[in-house]
Amino acid sequence: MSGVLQASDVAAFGEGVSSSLPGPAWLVARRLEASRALAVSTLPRETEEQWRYSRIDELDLGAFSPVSDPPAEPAPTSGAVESFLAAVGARSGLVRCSGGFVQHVDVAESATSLGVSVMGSAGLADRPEHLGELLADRADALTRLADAFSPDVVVCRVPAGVRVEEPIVVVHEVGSERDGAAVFPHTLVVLGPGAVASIVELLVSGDERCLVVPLLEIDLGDGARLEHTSVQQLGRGAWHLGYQASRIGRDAVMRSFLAALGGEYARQVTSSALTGDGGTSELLAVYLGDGVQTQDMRTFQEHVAPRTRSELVFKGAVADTARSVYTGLIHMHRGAKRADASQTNRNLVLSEGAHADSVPNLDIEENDVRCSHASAVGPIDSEQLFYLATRGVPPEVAERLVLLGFFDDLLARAPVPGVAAYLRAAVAERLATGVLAAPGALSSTGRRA
Amino acid sequence: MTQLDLGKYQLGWSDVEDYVFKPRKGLSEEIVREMSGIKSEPAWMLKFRLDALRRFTDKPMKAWFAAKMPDLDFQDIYYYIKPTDKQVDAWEQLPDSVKQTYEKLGIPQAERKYLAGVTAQYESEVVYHRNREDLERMGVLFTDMDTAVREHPEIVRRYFGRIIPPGDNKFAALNSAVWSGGSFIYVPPGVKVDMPLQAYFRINAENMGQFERTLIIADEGAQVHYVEGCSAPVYSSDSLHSAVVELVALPGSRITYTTIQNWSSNVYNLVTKRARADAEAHVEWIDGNIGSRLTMKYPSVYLMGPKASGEVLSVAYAGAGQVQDTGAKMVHCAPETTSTIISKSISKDGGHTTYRGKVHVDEGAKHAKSFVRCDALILDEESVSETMPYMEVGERDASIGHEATVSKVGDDQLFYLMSSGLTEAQATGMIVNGFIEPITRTLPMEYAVEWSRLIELQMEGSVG
Amino acid sequence: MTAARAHRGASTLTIAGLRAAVGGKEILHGVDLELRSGEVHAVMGPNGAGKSTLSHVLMGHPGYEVLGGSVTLDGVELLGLATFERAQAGLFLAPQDPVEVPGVPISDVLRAALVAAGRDGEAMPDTLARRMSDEAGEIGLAPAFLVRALNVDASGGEKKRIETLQLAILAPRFAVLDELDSGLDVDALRAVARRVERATVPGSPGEPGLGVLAITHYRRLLDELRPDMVHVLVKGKIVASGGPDLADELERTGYAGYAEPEVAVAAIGPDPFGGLFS
Repeated sequence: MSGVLQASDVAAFGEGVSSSLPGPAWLVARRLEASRALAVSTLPRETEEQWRYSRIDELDLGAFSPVSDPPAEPAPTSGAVESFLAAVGARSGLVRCSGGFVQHVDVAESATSLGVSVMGSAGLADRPEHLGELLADRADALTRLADAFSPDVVVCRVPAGVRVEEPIVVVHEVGSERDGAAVFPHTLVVLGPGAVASIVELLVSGDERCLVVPLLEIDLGDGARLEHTSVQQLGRGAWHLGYQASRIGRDAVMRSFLAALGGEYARQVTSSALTGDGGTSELLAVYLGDGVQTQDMRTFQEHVAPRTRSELVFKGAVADTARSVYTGLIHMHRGAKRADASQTNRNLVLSEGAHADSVPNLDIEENDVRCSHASAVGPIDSEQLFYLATRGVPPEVAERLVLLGFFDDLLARAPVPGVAAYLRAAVAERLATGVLAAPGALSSTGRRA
Repeated sequence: MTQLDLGKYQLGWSDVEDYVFKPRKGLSEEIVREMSGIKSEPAWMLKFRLDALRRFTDKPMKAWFAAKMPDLDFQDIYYYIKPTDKQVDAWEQLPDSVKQTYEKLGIPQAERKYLAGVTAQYESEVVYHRNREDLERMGVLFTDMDTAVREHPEIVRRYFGRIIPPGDNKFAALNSAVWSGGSFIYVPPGVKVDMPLQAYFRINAENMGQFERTLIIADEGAQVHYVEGCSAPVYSSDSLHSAVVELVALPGSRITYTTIQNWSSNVYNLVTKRARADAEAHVEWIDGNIGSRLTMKYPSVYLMGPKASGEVLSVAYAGAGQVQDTGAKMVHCAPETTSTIISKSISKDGGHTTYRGKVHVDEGAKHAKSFVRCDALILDEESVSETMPYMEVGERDASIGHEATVSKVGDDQLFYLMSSGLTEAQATGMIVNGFIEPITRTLPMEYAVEWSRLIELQMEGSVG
Repeated sequence: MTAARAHRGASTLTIAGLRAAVGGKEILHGVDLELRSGEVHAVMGPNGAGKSTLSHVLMGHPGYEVLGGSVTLDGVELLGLATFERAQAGLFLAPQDPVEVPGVPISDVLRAALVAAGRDGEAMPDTLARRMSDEAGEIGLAPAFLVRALNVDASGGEKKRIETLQLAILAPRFAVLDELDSGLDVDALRAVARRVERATVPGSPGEPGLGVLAITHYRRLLDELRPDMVHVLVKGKIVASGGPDLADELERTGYAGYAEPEVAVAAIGPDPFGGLFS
């Protein structure tokens, strides 16, 4: 499929679904508006700079159709969800969504009593403030598709000055065993001035083919502090096209941590706009691809206001015939005086046949800034392997230690310690099973011919 | 249009035009046939030109390229101007105005002091050419490209258009259709040319299009250093310079190609430069871009043989109204190939610099190594810098690194230098020269001095 | 217990006619050395003599090519073994500049090494942690390094203490100490030398002392780590061997009696075509 979306394409995808989805009037109106915009949209192509190295040309919308009813049965992924929740530990709230429908909301009284509000669209009589605003700059045919077919939205609001002690966990399950389910989770997080919160999101599916287009919007008021953790553990049949956008107010701080482990093709756009004087964003991510996976990371650090700071560290590894893409932009807008930005991308290529692309861009319109980026692609360091071998550590063990170590400095910075431990175990398990575990699979060195 | 600023651009005078052949403006099959006829070219070259012209017409401009390009009117350009009736090998034999131009540029003086050979191109043709006699005895061929087509067809046909095919990009196609002049160098196996060979390119006429074509072949174990300089008068309407440069570094050879580009600010400089490096060969592009309205140029090295290495050292300066969109491309196709790209850019008075580069590692290019470093200095609030490095790695045992920084001239640094009695412009000039020093110090002394002087000129009268 | 450790008596490390090359250039032109349990031998030599090559070749670094000769430990040829197998056979290398291994704590490395050698009992977390803590105390290594990534953010002196700690825990039969004194202040040098020296003392019956091959440019180390034998390595060959007096003599006379004057690198002019970064 290519070019302008034809009415027939959208019809084949989900005729009548958009208009038949439930929800309050503002949500229905929003879907209608998005459907109209979609009708004149063009699907992105790999020839566009933002989609260079992507696999978007392979996307056949006709092979998918949206989930139109809330799944009745517990999702087959529930076991995995339980172990994740156990790892997170204490929490202030839990939202469980399936097929994009909010099915369960449970918020601690200690939080609700302070005015913290976490709910699906059913509880919202009016269109939530800021919804759709933050992603407006990144809008494309896929975000419109999500807006047209998203059945629900999770809205999390923390009033000014309120501190939520424990994380609020949002679980998104595809929840359908049907081949070709398309799911559009949408989360909006709004922190009032001086509010403090931690949000943890988990995205899981079974092994069926599915299309997942999650939207995440974050608005931080002046002086607010948010820690956001996102764990993407979709099955190997999933096409994931995720969008995250945040707006960071004066002296506000956002720490964002992403672990991208699943999916067949998993693309994540992470955008952070520092619009208030002195705001800070920290964008961290680990990604791991093996088999035929593609992990595709796009980032934007938009420095609009003076004295803003951002730090980005994305680390990935690819094995087998997996691919990874990192493209990132630090954009210093005119007037972002004394802003300070850094961008680091490190990639390990673990197998013959694996491939990594890295494109760290700078666009600097203001001279009174500090700005740096560094990017590297390479194999596991053979000197490290030799050193461990001199201690008597066999190559396959040394490779696993070094690879875990490569991720460990980032995992140690995951906002929720339990999630760090969970991810460390998840990565170790990936290394201990499958192709990565084969002796010498990771490197040609450290072993004599 | 940019303001005329003769005080600043020092090479901006023009000579009275008194040409042997100056056809009408515009591009057509007729013009191509006419110039090929004047040059008495063999049939294969005319065919090559006509084929390229068709490609130029059919080929769309790349989107990113088009985004930076103005609406250039290809019909408002002179494609071929023949300034003299024959090439000479003594400066005295040139018409006075042309001779004086080169004297003002200092080329004859430089030839006497430190060059092994000189080619001087004026508009479309090489008007002066001289090679050191001992080089000729060693079998070094150094001529203008038109002469080479006539006199060395066996070598020319083997390599011409093979490194950069006419269909490579729209401007390579244009050059292939209307090329004229440029240098041809062949260095036989094992011969090391100890002093640089130089070419100087001068555009004089308004609305001129200069399309020189250079081909350098270093045979096995040979070494050569080629230096080109360029300048043009300041006019209120635009000229186009669109060269194609092909380098062939056969096994174990070494080619250094130094460019000091100082076109006036009405010249669009769109150049395709590419080298092929075979086993253990080394190619080095030293690329200084200080002039032109818009330069888009990304010298590249295709590392085709084991242990081949490539290096690009690039300095770009963009002042008022200038865009320097420069960079480098390294393509690793063989094991143990290495590449280094060092780029330094300076933007000032609203100038816009872009580093655009690519490092590509093919599967099988085991133990390939590449390092890229880009530093940008932005001297004031109006100026802009962009960095766009692409890294594509399809081989596990390859190590690719990229680092970049953007900075401004520190107030502390300025204060320190000015407290020792320097003006702000002088102090800034010193800091900028320090910034690009890692590259200037790789230049032969005479060019390094010239280069530092050019940078200082750019700083003068601009601050404070 | 592995078979090797079960028969642990006095051991011999024999280097015979060892020739090796780096990047196609022969560096070692036939080195002969014999070292027994409990002995400390020093190998001294000027820059470029091949000292570092010797340590890398003994341990099987992939960047070095063995052209001939043998290295045997109690008659078992080591040259055909992978690096980790040499380590398991009882050889240890403390490199001149230990590599940083980001994200990998020392305890993980020691545990993996002990488990791979079949010494699971010593690898038990509590047992290992206690021993590491004891050794760190003796060597004077801040406890923080026991949980930090290996060698990351450690000073030169701390790295050498970390090496010594690993040596103590792994208890090899022979240790090659490559410029152990580089980057060490006097106190650190004393602390690590004391610990190495203690390792050379035979323990219970059947536990012979550590054999040490200390490779060094300076005599400083040898004041602390009193050698039984001193060997002079010049241009890839052992040109003299003797008792501790030899080190004193070298201190007085230098290597001039054995070697050509070293060519100053700066005296070789730059390649006229050489770029800065080539």
